[in-house]
Amino acid sequence: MSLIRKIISNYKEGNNFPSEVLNNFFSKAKENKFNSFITLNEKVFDDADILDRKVREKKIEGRLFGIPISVKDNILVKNLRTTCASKILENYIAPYDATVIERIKREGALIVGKTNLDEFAMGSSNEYSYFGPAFNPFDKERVPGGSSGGSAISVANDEAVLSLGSDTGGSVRLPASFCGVYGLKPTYGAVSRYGLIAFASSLDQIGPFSKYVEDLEIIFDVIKGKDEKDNTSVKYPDLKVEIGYPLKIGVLKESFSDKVEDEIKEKLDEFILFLEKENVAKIKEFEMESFEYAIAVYYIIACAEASSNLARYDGILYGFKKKGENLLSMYENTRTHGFGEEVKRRILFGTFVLKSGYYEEYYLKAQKARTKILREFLKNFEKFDLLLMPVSPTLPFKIKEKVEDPLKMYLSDIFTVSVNLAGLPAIAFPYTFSKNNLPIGFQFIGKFFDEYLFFSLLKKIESLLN
Amino acid sequence: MDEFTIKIGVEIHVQLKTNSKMFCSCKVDMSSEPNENICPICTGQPGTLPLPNERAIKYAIIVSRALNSKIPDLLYFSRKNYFYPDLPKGYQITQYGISTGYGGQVPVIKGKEILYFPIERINLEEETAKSFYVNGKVFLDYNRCGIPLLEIVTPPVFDSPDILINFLKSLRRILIYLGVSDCNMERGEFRVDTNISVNFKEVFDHRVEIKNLNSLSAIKDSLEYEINRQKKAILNNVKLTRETRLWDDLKKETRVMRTKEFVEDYRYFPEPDLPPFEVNKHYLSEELPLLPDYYFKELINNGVDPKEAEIILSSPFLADFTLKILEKFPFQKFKGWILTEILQYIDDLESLRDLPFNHLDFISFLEKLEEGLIPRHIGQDIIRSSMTNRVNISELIKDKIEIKSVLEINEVVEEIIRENIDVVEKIRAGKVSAISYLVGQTMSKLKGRANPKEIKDIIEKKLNLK
Repeated sequence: MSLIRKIISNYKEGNNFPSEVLNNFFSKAKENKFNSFITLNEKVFDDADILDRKVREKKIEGRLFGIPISVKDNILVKNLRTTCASKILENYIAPYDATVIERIKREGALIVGKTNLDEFAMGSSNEYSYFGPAFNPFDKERVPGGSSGGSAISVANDEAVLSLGSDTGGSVRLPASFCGVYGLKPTYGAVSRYGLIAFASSLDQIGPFSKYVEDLEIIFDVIKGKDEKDNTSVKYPDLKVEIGYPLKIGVLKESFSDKVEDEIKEKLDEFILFLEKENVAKIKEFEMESFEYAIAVYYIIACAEASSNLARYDGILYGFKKKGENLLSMYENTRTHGFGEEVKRRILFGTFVLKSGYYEEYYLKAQKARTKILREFLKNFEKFDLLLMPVSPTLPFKIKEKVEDPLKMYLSDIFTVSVNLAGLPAIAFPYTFSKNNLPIGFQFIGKFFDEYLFFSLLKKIESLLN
Repeated sequence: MDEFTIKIGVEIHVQLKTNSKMFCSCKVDMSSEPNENICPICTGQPGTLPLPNERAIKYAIIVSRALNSKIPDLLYFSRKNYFYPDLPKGYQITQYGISTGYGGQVPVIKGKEILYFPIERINLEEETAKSFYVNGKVFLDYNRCGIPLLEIVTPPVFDSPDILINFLKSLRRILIYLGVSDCNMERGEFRVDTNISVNFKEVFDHRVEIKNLNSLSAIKDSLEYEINRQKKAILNNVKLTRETRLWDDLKKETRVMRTKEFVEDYRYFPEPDLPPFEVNKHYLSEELPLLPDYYFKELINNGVDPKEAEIILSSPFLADFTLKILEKFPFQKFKGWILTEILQYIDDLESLRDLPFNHLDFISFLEKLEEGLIPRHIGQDIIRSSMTNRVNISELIKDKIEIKSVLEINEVVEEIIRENIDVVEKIRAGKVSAISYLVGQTMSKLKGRANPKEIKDIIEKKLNLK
């Protein structure tokens, strides 16, 4: 099932025009029922008009022709405001297009607007936004997950067909899981980061959201691949995916620990039985010694890089500025009032771990642990084709439940961060619903460049489940 | 008094002469209007990423090779974090932990000798913006921001300002010969910070750094001032401290800028946006240009006085030109023509890259002088005209002394004989020396375009004197 193909074939048959389809999604976005958007792209209808003409002229070209897409507000879209959900960039107008934006525009995508997030993508609940929290579309009292909460909501609530978010420690997968949609965290380097506002450069990856796995494949095809503007991007290898079922899938032992809510464990068991019954996979448990250190390692590296990446918001060239009696007090005022609490907490923490004298003890040690995590993953891939585990240890939690307790909040990422540390790809997919109708999903983790294996497998699972 | 020991070291920043900046494609051109050569990357806009300039990396490696520094196989960049308005990202991309070049030395010309002074390291980094202070306000020009910069650091091995000046002159010359920088000090392309400690018997840790040195004379004067200040302090038992002092070129004194009680912590860490890279093997094997010490040795071996050699060495072009002439003529035969005649028309010897004629033209000019075809004063006219109008001397020689054929000379000689019967009579009577009068008359009729010896021969033949 592909919504993209359905929409485009409707254009081809002359049943619809892009501006009509856009209007359906845009009007829902404009309602902004769950506070998923920070900025709407009012000018998108001009773009749709051009596409309407092309439909009339029967010149329908582009893999995303007339497809409404939302973009997380930490990815630059030229001439649109890009806030990063921060006061410090409240009025910042993007002077250029991110590489992913260039690529989707070239394929005819219609950009609906910029979606809500935790400030600078730092958070797991979308509560740390200068523009207010976003709400879970299945239960408004609960969080949509973060940091790409707005992106996940926009897809779940039909405000866009697809969305682009970013995943530094789970920021695509967690909200995808909480909102019941697909979310891909690509292999590090598979998608250009040029134009993505950096949180932690060595962990950040742009990733797409969709309701159907086939659509995820279509947009991944468009955005992936080497970009001369990003030195860390790589040429995506030309791989043919040939799957021999049943696949060997390892399930992380900690998926069944007491840190994980019972309902999630039950459904995971059910899912495993389903895979085995359908002869899709043979499943065995695996262990990861480094698992318990991943959160600590992640926060040291992510915050260290963030403390440096966010130094540019100093009130000199652009963004929010609060004057002071001298240069130092201007810096202090600007950054004290421009950043939110969580961002400041992470900047301070990151500054601390990079201090001379502490560098070896924290940052360097974390880098060594990071290598160890990757090695452990690769060792497991000698035995398994894919790994399986929950995305979150809990169901979507209540708003304000964890916001005052950062450590508790950080533990939401326990199943997601190690993937970013290793640079591996992972995909969050919806599976079922809880008793109170909250989405439950899991994630597959693959070897480098296993994205197309995910797509094939999940297309099969999607059809089996329907 | 000789129990004082002086230790001087330097940190040199050299702007590399590349077309584009270190991490973006902006033009390197400080003659543009302020803030004309800027882009999202070099102004640190959110989402941008650095792209290393290959040529700058190549230049850094060439300099390291020329100075005999050790070059690691794998290089990477690091971030130096600090806040200042001239640094739009809040960090400078530089090298730390690993340098392009380690160790090595600079051959320094002192009198007839070549001495070798050690280098500690050579780092490649990016420039900051240029600050202007007008009426108490600070203005920033980001044209300079991101220009490739080479940092060359020496250990404290210089025991007098004079030898340091020699070192700096030699180093500049090498960089100019390598073609990596123009090293213009006034334009800030070659900037020097010094550090100095004067000790009396015991060794104290009171290294004083001196900044704001915009010329070689400022370097020399500031060091002499500082040596006196420190000696006086020691003799009067005043405690000296580690500090940074600023040179005031008008008042000719140094004053405290900051003490080292507060040491800035730059929180260096490897630049996550730029993966480590292998040194290109071609850069290691490509042939280097000939360097000043080679030319110096050759000139000295050819009997050139060391002082004159230093003048010739100022321009790599002139050094090469002179060596080519030396293959045909001893220095004594032409040094006046170069050092006095040609150089009087050159304002800036260092930027001398060509003459309106090549070495072959000049050799034939010297041959004609030698043969007497060109009288000295005509030669001077030719040089003046060539240098001021940028015309090849060969053209001017043709014009001024186009040699007349023997037939033409014969005709003129006959004419002169007819007109000067009285002189001929005298010659026939035995006053042979009067021939030179006839030669002179013939020469002036031929406007000097003949060989006087040849004329003399013809006259003698005509008068049957032979």
